[in-house]
Amino acid sequence: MRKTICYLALLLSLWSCEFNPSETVFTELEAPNTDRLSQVVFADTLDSLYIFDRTEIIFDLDFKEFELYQIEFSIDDEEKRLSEGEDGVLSYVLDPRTLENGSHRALLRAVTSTETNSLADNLEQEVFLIEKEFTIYIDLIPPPEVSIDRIFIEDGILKVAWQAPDKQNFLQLELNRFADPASGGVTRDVLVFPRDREEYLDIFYAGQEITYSVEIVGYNYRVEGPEMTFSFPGFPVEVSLPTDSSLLVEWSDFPLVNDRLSFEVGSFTTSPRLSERFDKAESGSQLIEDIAIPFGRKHNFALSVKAPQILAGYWETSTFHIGEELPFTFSNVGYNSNTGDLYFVRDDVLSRNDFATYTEKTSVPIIADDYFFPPGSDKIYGIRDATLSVIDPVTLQASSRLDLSDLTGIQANFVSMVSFSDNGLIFFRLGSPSRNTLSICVLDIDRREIVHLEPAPGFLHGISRDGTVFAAGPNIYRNTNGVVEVIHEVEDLASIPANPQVTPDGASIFYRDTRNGNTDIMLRYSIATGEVMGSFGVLDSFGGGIGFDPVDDVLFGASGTRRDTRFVLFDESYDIIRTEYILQEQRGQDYFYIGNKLFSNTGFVKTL
Amino acid sequence: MTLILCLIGCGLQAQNINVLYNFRFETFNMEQLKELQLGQARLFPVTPTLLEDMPSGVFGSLSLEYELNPTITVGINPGFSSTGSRYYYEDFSGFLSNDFLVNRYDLMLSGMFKRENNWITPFARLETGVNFSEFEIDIRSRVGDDSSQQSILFQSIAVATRFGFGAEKKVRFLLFRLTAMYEVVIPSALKLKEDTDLQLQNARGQVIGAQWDGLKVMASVGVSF
Repeated sequence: MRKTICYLALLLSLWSCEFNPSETVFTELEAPNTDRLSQVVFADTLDSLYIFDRTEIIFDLDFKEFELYQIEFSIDDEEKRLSEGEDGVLSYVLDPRTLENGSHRALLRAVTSTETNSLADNLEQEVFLIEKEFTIYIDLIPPPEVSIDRIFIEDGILKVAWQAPDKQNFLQLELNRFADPASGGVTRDVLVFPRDREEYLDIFYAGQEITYSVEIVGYNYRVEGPEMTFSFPGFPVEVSLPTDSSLLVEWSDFPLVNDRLSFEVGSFTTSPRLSERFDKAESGSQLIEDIAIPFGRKHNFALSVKAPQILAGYWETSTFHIGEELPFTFSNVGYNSNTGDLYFVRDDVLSRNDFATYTEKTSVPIIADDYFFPPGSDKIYGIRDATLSVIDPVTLQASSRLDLSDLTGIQANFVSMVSFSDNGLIFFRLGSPSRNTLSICVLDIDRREIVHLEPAPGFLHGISRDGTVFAAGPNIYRNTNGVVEVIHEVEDLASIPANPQVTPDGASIFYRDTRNGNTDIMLRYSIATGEVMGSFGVLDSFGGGIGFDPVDDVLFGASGTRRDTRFVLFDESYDIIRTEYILQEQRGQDYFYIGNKLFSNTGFVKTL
Repeated sequence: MTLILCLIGCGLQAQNINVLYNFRFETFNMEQLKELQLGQARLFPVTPTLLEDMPSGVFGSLSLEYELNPTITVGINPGFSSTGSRYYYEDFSGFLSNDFLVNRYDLMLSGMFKRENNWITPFARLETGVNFSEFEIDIRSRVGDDSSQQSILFQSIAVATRFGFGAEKKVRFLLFRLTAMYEVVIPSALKLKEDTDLQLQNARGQVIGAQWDGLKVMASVGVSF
């Protein structure tokens, strides 16, 4: 029994129970779900790329919650190195010249986490492989020449038909209009037609032939095509003047059918540009009222047509003018009451014309630099240098010549500011070559004697019709049978003795009022009393300020601004009774008012 | 074993020899190894679960004793103990396991000091001796189709002392004994088996060993010759 227990104990002691861990635990996780990959966003551009120039391909990728482990980009299985910008955006700069023309397989391969949080995911051994394959097209070959198939009018719109090249590297077609085909210079007149579009052609050259060169423009190329010549029919428009301030525009049928068309008519020869707009869809007429049409120039009047969103231009100029056009231009016009004729000083002739019809009766070559037509005088006078020519108003031949230097005893070479009185006195300003000795002279033409000579008194600004009153220099003078005396110091009347003008009756004188820095007012003073008798707006467009009609002594002048210049006519009470638009760029001495007729030295006359 | 058989054989010739089989319940300190394993677990890419943590155990051992006189008994006590721990993680993609396995073979000389009693004999017991420890780190994993396993074995020899109290009862030639002791182990470095110059260290660079310290409760059954 004891032995048995001993052996049992020994046997049990040989049994050793070694620790052996066997317990495990399983963590339930969601397996990787590829459906979640739909959240991964690739840029839309990664479908197909047309590369024509050095281009940075930007991979705008959004892997959402999946961590990006690795990304590779390859073209035709050749791996390319991506660049990472500061903002983390990946890109690759592709120079198309490194690839052959044609299509290439591009592959973007990304390895991301699965975000299952599993053991493998945490060891980055459980990944999603995301691949995006797209095609890169390289095309560096310009398309063949492009030509304009035709120019046509459709639905009232002028169109160009052409076949755009079926190439992605084509950008646009350009039509370059040559200002002068001979010179080959290209103007700014470039019409651009984007690819695959039939564009409206903005043509303002109706009735003309236009030469264009065609250029096709794309990436890295500009290919010049053939020159093309287009011809567009004109569009007839008639312009008439129902009144001096209204225009009637008439046009016939034209191939424009749009509902709303905007017509723009205008004279492009004036400044400011004369322009009116109106809407009309069909042929017809349009009366444009209260339109300021300057007198003294021909106007080219055009009708252009604009439709909403497009410009379909047809136009044809129609020329018109205010008043009657003379067959010549002139520098001076005068009236001789004895003959009842008009005298025009033209470029090279002095002509005598009929007062009513302006037809020429006589003309002779110019012999003087300045011609004078004193009201009431039976003579015409011409001045050249210091020589006064007395000219017969019928034959226009000089009957005598007087050397004013000899008469005055002053060695002079010019005569200016010549005025005449009814009693045969001629007032003029005589100057020496050095202009240091200026003199105001009064010549009795009948006796051919100098009745008054006053050294350097200033400017001579006019005399009364009877010659008894005249303004010279700073003073107003009274001439009594050759005895001249100062009756007013000009400083008493106005601060600046500029542009005074004695009225024909010798009763008043006009001065520009500048005493308060205001040059826009003309004042009329009584010569007898020196009192202000009235004021007017600025009359500064005439060189002499104002003038008097030699027929009935009415006052006229010009006033206005650079944008609105008018000829004004006064009645006997010096109230404005008539205005006419005149050209701003012409000065007052370019207009003449004689016997109810307004002349412009540009060759126009209008009866007021 | 030959020695044990000889002792048994000798015992058969005398009346003061005891042969006992012990059911020994042991607790272990092992804080150093626990700390080491926790540090390793923190390096896992996932958070593992601590499934075993150096648990206590019941181990069998043999005691061969000689009663010098009625109050003093000496003996020799070979024994074996084993414990370990496991950090473990597993999901659909694989698993990762980190096992610590610690075995001990000890040989202790004992002395008992009894007090005669008619019904039950109380005693004090003192044991001292050496133990040989083997410590194995076993790391296994499978991720997808890839599996791996790595084991590292350390060994150490240490001096240990147990002391405690107990009581026994003799019924004719049968001996029943219950002993409670506490074991103190003098620390000894665990050395790599393949290269004993390499000692196991914790993250702070401190040498660590198997800490078998703990309570030992034995229930023994034997015979007296």
